[in-house]
Amino acid sequence: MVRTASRPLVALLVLSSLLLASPSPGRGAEWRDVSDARLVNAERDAGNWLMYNRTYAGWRYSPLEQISTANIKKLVPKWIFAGGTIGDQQMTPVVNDGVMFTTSTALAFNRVHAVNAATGELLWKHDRRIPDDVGALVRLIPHNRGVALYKDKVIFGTLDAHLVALDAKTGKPAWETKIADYAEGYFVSQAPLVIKGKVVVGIAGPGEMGPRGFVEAFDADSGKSQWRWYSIPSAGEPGSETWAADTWKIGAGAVWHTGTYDPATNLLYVGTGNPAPWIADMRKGDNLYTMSAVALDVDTGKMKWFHQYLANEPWDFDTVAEHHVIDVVRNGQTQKAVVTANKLGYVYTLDRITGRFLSAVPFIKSLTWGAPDPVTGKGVEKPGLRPTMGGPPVEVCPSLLGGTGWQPKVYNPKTGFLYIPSNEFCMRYGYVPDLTYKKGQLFTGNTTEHFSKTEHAGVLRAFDVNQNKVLWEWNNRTPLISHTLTTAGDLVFQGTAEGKVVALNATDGQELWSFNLGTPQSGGIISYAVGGKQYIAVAAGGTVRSQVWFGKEPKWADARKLNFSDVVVVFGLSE
Amino acid sequence: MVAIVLIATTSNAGEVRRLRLCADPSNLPFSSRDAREPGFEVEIARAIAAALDAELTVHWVPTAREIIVLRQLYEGRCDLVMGFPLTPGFVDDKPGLSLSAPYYVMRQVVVSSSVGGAHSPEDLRARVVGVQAMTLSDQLVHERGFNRKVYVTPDATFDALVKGEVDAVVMESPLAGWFVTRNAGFVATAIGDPARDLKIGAAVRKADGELKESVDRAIQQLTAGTLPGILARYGVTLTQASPPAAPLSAELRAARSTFLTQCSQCHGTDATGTAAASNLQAFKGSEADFVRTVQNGRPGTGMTPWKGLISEDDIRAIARYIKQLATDPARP
Repeated sequence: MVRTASRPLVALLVLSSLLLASPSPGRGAEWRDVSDARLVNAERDAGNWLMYNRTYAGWRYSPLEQISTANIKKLVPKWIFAGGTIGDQQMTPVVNDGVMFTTSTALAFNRVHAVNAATGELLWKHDRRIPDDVGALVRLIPHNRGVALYKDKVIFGTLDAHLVALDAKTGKPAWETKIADYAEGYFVSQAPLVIKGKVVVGIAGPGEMGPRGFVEAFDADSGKSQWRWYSIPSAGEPGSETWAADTWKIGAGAVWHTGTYDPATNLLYVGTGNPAPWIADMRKGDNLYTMSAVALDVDTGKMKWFHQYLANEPWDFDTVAEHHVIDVVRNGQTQKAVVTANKLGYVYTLDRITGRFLSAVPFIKSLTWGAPDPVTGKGVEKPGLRPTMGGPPVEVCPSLLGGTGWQPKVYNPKTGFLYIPSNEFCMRYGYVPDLTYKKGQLFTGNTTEHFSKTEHAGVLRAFDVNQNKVLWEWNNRTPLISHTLTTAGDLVFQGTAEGKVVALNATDGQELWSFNLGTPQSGGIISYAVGGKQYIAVAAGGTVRSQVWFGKEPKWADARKLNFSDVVVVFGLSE
Repeated sequence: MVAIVLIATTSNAGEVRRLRLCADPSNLPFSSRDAREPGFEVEIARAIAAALDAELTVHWVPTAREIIVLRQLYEGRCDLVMGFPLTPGFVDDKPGLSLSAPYYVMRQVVVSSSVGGAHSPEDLRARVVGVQAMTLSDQLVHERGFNRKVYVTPDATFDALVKGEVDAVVMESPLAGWFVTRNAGFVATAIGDPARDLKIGAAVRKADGELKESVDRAIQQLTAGTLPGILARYGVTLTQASPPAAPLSAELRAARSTFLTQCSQCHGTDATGTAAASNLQAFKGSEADFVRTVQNGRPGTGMTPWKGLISEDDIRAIARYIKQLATDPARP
């Protein structure tokens, strides 16, 4: 099943040396700075999980293989850490040499913890109070997806649109930068990404509250801004002709998901969100560069290329999902590509040097909006699926949560599979008859009812990136608004909204192990090692918003009855 | 009291006089074999018979093709057929037919979503309008140059509206009213063009001249009493009875805009709740309770605090707007 040359072997060798060298964990241990070199080589730093997606390539693949298909039945919980919030736990922990950093977020605060990764002992915590007059979307979904590490700092974005650096050893504030005015509806939900001494952070909020989306880079030592790239050109700039009149000023294009990076091209790959308002006729034109893959020179922030997935998008199908840096083999030829599975329900492959469209293959069945043109990759809509203002709702599949959304897709180089937690959902989707922009308020103009037509609303799909097709599926009754991890132990871990985490055979999808977390799985699942022992950490607690989305959908019943409480549960092999 | 002579009824001495109606067994709201809901035309025929001191019997026959039902009349299997337009020239090619006085006026009606739908011909611009093929509505929509989608039956036309294939339907008032009384969330608005109105009467054999006069007199009597009730029950006069909706006050218009933008995604455009969000029309507390709940939210649920984002005055206006929705759903 090995499709990508020799990587597992390299990883194995590195792992062995690292496990032997790994320090004793937790308090008192020497802090090892997270240097640029360590971040670039994170793939080979097997025992650590140094950034949101573990590596710049965005794979979420752990080369650790102590826990494997052979001994998975012996996987037991070792410790549990409660973050003290209810409602929204979408965070992925990071680990550096035995110290885990987690976040717990509520409307009133952004909280960061440092925890002994072997024992769960709390080392420090930092609460940053959030003013109570933040924008509407922040109030609806106050969440944070995690921190970045750089040198001796822990860096995170806040609900009031600041970037904050803490001393990793003590939790004491080091520097703080205001990114944007939260009164406009800006906030940060993504985990920042540090590249070459720059903290790269994309902004959230525009997709629902209007203002222009952007990505900004800050000096990681001082917090000073280095460059900002707006996802919407201002009047007179190339691309501004794709916006009617002044609509660009409140046209959104949020960049709310952590990007990926290829050191060889020096390009940062980000996906941009939907335009605002969601009523497409209120912003006639193609609306560049919303709904696009964008490659930015990480030194300057200049756009190298873009590919727009869908022009004048009407359904909130943001294409922010991560663009995995993968060398795919198609027709015997190796292609330097980015691969992304996004809300539109297709796996897109683009040339990562030029942005040229290579292929798009559907991965969900509940898919009616249309299809990418096979030559250009630009979305071609099925006619009649755009609602009219005040008109009756239209039925469109998928729902606005997409074929897959923010839940990470993970890539295992041993199998060559991209594992896609996907959803079989449709929606009745309408436009309100009347919509006006007000700063900080919702600027979407939609009415939405989500429903599922299939027996299983959640399907984990193993997509072979070389054969360009789905090879196996694992079905779940509720949608997979939850996380996935794959490891060199030939395993895939998948969380569910019913509060379970299961382990599957990465090669054939056979279910091997399952554990009841007692609260919906919703945050990151990672693997790391301390003191020669491999661990699996699972962040859980649910997303309260999903109660509104799925409400009366019968398939959601098992998730609805659970309590939503924020925890990290860490598993290891029984001794 | 005018003496009634029923030439056409079987009137052997000592027998109960009968008025025989030809009607379709399955054509609601017009007629149905189901005695619990026989249709407004059967009920009106029965009222006419009662006024004539006769008993109504029904000869059931499909009415989809005019010639078939008229043959029943000509050949004496029934004496009365309901539902013919009193347009000049209609009887010119039917020398054996005579039409009664009108018992209702059929109008062209726009049916659309109660919230933000089309409520006038002007609203139909830039929307997709469903019509039944080869009907007067079809002709009207075609003539006005609206974006028209054509269906074979009224049912198929309304299905298209429910499924969202079309934004509005233009249909004759009995079918429109019947649909609206049975499908929440839709309203019927008369197109308001008298030139398109059709007076509807009943057909008798021309030879039964005295019957025609008796039926005319009965309809005249019933117009003041029984008729409006029957028509209203089937929704036929739904759009005709209600005056055009008064425009919302400026305050409620602003409240509607805020409600639709900030609240309707969860609570629905009619505030009756969607998914896990509650039905605000059924909110039990006072206006002050409403304000408090909106300002502070409901912790642990999807209801977030809106304090500072929506002013207290605006929240109160939203409360009044929802109250208005609850009492007058046709005027959102």
